[in-house]
Amino acid sequence: MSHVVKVELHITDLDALAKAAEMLGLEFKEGQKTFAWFGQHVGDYPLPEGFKASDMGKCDHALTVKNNDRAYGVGVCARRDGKPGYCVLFDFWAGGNGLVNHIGPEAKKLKQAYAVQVARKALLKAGNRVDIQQKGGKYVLVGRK
Amino acid sequence: MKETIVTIDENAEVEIHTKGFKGTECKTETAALKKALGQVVQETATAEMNQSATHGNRASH
Repeated sequence: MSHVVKVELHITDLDALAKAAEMLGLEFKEGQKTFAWFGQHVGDYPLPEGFKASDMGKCDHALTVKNNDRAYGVGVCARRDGKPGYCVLFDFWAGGNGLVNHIGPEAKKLKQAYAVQVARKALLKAGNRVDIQQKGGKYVLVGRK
Repeated sequence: MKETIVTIDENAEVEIHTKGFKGTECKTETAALKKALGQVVQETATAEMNQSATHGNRASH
C-alpha cells in the first residue's frame, strides 16, 4: 500500500446526488423549493449549523420517495456553516412515513450512496477500470490501471 | 498493477488505500478523488510511499 486517507464527505456534486437517489428508490427534484415534513418542529432534534426550525420544509432542491406520496421528503440545502456544498434536511418522525427506510438513520445510506457515485466518477475519470462490491454494509470500489 | 481502493462504510466514512504506486505518485493519483469527496481529515504514508524517497537518498550518496 502507498498511503491511507480518511475523508470527511461534502455533498457538492448534484449529479452524483441524483444518481445516489436513484440507487435508493428516490427521485431528485432539481430546483424544488419545498419538501414534505410533519409541519411542526418541537425542538426535539438538532438542525444543521445555521438552520432554524422556521427553515424546515424549505430547500434549494428536494428528494422524494418514488411510489409513496405519504413519505416525507429530503431538503437539499446550501450549507450555512462555511463549508462547501449542501446539507440535507428531513423529518424522521414516525420514520418519515417510509422515508427513513430509503435514506437510513441520519441519512447515512444516502450519504454512503452519494460517496459511491462520486468515487466511481472520479476513478473512471482518472482512467481506471472500476469494480464495485458490497461487503456486509460497506461498499468497496477498486480502481485498476 | 496500480490499484486505488475506496471503502465506504455504513456511517458513510470513506477510506482510500492505494497499492502499486511508488513515492508520491499515489498522492498525485488520488488528489482529484479526495477533492471530489470532501475534506481530508487524516493521511498516513505507508512503507511503499517512503521506499522511493529512501532509494533517492541512497542514489545521492
